[in-house]
Amino acid sequence: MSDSHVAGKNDPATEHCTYCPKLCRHACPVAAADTREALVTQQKMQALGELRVGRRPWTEDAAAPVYGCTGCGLCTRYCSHEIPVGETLLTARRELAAHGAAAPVTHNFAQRFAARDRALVSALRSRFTATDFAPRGAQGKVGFLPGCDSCASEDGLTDVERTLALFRALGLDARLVDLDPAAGPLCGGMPLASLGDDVALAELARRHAASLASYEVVVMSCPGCVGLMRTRFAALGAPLSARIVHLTEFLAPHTERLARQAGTGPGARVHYHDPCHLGRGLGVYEAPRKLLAAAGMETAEFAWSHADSQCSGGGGLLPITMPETSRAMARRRLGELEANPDNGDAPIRVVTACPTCKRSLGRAASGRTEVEDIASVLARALGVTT
Amino acid sequence: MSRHPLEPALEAAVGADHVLFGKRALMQIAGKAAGDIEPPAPTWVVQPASAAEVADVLRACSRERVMVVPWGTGSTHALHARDERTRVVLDMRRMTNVLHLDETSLVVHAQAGLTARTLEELLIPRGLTLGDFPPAALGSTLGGLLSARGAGRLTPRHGFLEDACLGVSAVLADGRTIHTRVAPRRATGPDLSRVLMGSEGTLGIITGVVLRIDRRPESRLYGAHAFPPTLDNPVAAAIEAVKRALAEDARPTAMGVYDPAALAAHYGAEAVPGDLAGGCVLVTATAGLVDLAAADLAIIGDAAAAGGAQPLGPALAETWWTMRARAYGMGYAAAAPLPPGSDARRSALEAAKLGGPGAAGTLAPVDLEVYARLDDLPRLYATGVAHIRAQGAEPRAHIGRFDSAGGILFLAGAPALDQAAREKLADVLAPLGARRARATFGDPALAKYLHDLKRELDPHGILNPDRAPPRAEAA
Amino acid sequence: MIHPSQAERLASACAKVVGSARVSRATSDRHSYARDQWPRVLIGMRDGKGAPFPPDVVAWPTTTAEVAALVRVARELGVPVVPYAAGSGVCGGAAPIYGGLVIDTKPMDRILALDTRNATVRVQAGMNGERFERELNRRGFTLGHFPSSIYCSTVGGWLAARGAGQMSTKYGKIEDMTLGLEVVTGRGDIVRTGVDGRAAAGPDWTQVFIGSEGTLGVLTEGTLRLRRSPELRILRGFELPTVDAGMQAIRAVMQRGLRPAVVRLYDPFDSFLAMRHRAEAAAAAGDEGAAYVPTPPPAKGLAGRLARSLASARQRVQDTLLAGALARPRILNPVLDSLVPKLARKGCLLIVGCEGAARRTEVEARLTFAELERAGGRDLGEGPGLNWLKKRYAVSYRQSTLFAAGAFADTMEVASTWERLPDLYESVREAIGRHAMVMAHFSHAYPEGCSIYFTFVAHAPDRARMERVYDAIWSDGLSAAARAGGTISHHHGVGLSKGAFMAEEHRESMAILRSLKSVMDPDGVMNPGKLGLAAPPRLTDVARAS
Repeated sequence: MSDSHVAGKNDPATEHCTYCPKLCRHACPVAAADTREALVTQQKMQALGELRVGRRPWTEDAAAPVYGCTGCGLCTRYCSHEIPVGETLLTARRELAAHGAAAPVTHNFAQRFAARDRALVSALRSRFTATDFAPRGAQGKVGFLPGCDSCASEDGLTDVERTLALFRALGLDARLVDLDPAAGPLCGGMPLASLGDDVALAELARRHAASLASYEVVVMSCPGCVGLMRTRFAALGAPLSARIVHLTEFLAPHTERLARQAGTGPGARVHYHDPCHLGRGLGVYEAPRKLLAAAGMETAEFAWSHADSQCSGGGGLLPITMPETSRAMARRRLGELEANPDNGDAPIRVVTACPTCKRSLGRAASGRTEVEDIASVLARALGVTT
Repeated sequence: MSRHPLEPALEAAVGADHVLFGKRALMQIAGKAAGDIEPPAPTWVVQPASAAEVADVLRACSRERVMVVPWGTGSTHALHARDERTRVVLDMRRMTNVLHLDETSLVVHAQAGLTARTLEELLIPRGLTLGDFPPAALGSTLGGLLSARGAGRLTPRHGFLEDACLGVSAVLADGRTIHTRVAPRRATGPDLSRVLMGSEGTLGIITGVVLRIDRRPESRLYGAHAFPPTLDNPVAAAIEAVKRALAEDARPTAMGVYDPAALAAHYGAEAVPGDLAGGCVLVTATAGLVDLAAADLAIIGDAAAAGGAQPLGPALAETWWTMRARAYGMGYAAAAPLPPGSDARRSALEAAKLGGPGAAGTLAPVDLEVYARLDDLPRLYATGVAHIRAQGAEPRAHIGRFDSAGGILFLAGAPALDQAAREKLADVLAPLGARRARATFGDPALAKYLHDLKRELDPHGILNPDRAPPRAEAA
Repeated sequence: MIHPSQAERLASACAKVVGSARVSRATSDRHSYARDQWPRVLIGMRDGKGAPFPPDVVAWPTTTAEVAALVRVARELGVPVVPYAAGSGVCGGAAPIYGGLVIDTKPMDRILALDTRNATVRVQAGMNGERFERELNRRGFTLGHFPSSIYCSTVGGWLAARGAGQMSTKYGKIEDMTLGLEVVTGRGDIVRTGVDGRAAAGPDWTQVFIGSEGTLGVLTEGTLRLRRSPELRILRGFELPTVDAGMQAIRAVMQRGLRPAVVRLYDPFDSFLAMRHRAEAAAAAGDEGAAYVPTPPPAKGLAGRLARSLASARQRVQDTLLAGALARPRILNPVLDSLVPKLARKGCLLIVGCEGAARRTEVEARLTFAELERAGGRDLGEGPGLNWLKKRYAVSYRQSTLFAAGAFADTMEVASTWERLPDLYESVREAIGRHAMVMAHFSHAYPEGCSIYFTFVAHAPDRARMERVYDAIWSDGLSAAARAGGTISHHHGVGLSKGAFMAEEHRESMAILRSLKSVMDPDGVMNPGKLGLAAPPRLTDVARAS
């Protein structure tokens, strides 16, 4: 076997993808919404492999496909080689930056991220009163850290408010993490991870480790950051003492109580959208559905749901790098429901358990479709909306 | 009269004995019933025996720009010239050889002049069959059958006749000979034999066909169900039962829906179950491995029962099945299977051909047949029957030749409708989804392509120009 | 490649049709359409060659009218048009070998109408296979078309290449389930076939456009016949003593009028692999096999495992038996012939399955299994059948492993009537076996014949020799198929790789194909150089010069 054939000068993941007949084509939500062939998983990985071995120049055009991934993980589900495409592409973006081939919109992203995080912390602090925050210093408490996309709009802040009301109604002593008004940090760092920026992420992890040191449990509404903080922070040198749980994991043990308090509701029909990072990421599929059922809702399913759920378009910084494509993904996701004859012309309610999904889908919702946060929906079912 | 330069070439091609000239020749091949056929221009009847001879004839005609009309056993319309062009009628009926019978693959390669019925007679003693295609269709030559498309030439058990055709041999206008190679299916470009099939001899003359055949079925079973007049719409219920049975994967050999008048006219008044006026009957024949045939019968029976029908027992359907076959001289084909080669088989075959039990019977005539989607058939039936009655005739109708998408409605009146009345009836039914065989060339936008294709393959326009797409559409 | 100034004109004319956001001349876009899945190209790519056939311009139309306008634009400029959707073909059919305009039909991926009463569907050509089938399933129907490429192919591609699915024995090939098409011809007209169905006069245009591989026009829409989702599916494995006995058994089943959905007979080596695969699968945990959805373990960081599996694959290819053997197939194949049955202690594996409405399926399955036993088959129970169902799309994933390990693999699917089938099997197997390790299975059975699917794996010391081996396999294999009276392709199509064998396949009938071409595409712009049809000299001259 001559050297020219020897595999291994490239990494096995990109090499396997290069020779693959694009067997996860049906799974990639980016490629389904934006049919440029360069955005098919196989092509994105081939592009990365070719950049790395010098068969493609490190230019913005040649590197652009690497940004066409939300890290949703559905392709890996259909890969018998189990290639972690999302992780590979998201991580590789730091190589693009190092070679000067990064997308211009990502330049100085870490600084902008930090500024946004500070702004969101101050928005959160000014929106809520001191009693909404966990008491400073006490040990063993439960803190709630809302997703940053919740804090970016009045609508999202209302969801936070209702989440707190829901906790109170269920007798759960969970309050907002007592964030440092000047430094936060609020976001768990998915946006930084989406650019493979391990330096900024490690710095953020250290600040979270300090900020959350006195908590036993930290409840988060953003499943992407839950996964990130659970699995990556320790490796980045900032192990967390608190247990990080997603909102629906936190509420799951209280499903029966919720059912008792909700009584028999009107039985509204809602479609539940599985966030990629909650379902495929954390393996949580049933808890949110059971919670909705307990609150008297009938949950209807998307054609692609559970482990096959299709990304809302909000992940992987796609809304920044490819905003049109991101919107098309969200429109496609909701369009399925609008085209389904079972739904007639009736209003459509979509519930999800991720602020980023809610924001992404919400932007694409037509007048007929409403996208809601699960905690808000549950709070309303209990009549504790304010 | 001096000899036309074509004549020696024709004689060289097929032998002088097989070149006939003029009115006498036409009358001779058309038979007594054809009436008076007066050719307005020089006309030869040429009787080739092989594809090579056809090729020689076409080369000669191409050279002389003489038009060629292929003829088998088909309608004598083809023999009536529409213009004063010199013509050659290509009488295919000497081309009756079976070129290859592959009993392993169940495939037969036969010359195009062989009638399907004759082929069936050759197959039966070997325990083989073409399949239970409607007997009415099988009197035609194989070439004729496959040159023209037809919606109703099918049996749910075997599919459409043209789908059983695995390949054709043909001669193009310039004498080039084509043999499409045989494979069960292929993925090597367009289906080239389908270009010739359906083109009615306008693109090439089909000289041989390769057909999938079958073994004689192990069993035949029959069933009949009455949809009483008390139902909302008995014909609609019967069609719905057909549809449901086909959706449940039933593969009967034939099904028919008859109103009482049609039943009486075709099979005698005694065939009609009592108090059925305003209702209809679904008759069914299934065949094959006995368990499969029984399953098919049961599926259809249940579908009929679900539609409110009452079971009548097998006798009526058996009568329907055998009389329908006998009417076309194919009583033997409908008969219960017999061990191959047995004396009993041979004598049954002889009886069917010569007369006696199983000999040819007759069916009542049909005035109009139209193809329609299953969903459109009930309304077409009701409209057609009402229209005939309004013309002062006693209507009768049956529906058959079902596929998963549609079926054929056969309408008649007593007294029979004249030509004008038939056309009027067709005009009434057309807006409701009724289609007559070969009335259109499909999407008009494709007509120019067919026109150009003919010009490519037949630059002098000698092949059966009467059946080429009309110029108006070819704009 | 066309001249840059012409490409510029082409791009701006296309932008007037579809808008500038839906036209691209970017290198990244052009490269992503520069090949399909023809394995010969992968041999070159592994050696550092880029994808070889970039188009000059790519356009993404969203309507049939836009497709028609794009074809007219290309026709006016005399540049090639290559319809491209998922590019999963394995014969180079979608490769823009003369550059020009790629029309990507993937944006046209909607179900236009699903007639649940009459079980028909109108669907756009760009619809992905798996997405389509799942949507139909959700509505209670199936198309019954399950190519192993179903994840990565489209309806338009199936139609263009006359594809077949694994259950074609019951449901038919794609041409058997198509009622009509919408096509943009090479003249830029929009035409519909199947209007008035079989009541229309003239050729059956549907069967003319199916299989035309983009050489006559762009297929934009199909009307397809559906079946209700099966109520019952019964699968079995049988063991037949020899390939011959297996062929006889399938023939007996088909000629009895039975129509199982799946029939697959593996020759001894293929059986050996299939059995071993089964053993591996059984050893793996979690046997809950969802019929339509494979369920590999959830995603996690698995680069380590991947590297291990690659290393072990490379090991397998390189180990003493195979490394030597792949280079000396003449020795290997007989050795395997004698060794494998002993190793496996098995004859030939036959997978059979019936599905459909419950009542008929039960009867059909019982009769089918009885027929197979009568023909000498030993019932292995449902295990092998269920395992096949679960792993039925798995084969395509092995391509990566083999190529990454330095070998190459490809498949050749031929077919004939039963009378010629034993000869076809022996001849093609012998022809490929001169150059490669070869195995085969028989699938897609008909009353009158069957298809044979050869898989071959080979290796050579360098790219040039590997390509020579590759070409020799195809040349010898297809010639053998033609000599044995078989067809050179049952369902993969012709594309570029089999074009030279079209004359042998169709002989004088090529005249009809050429006439169709000149009528549908008088300027020769549609997918030039494919299907054994010569490209216009103005294109070949440019190609030769560059």
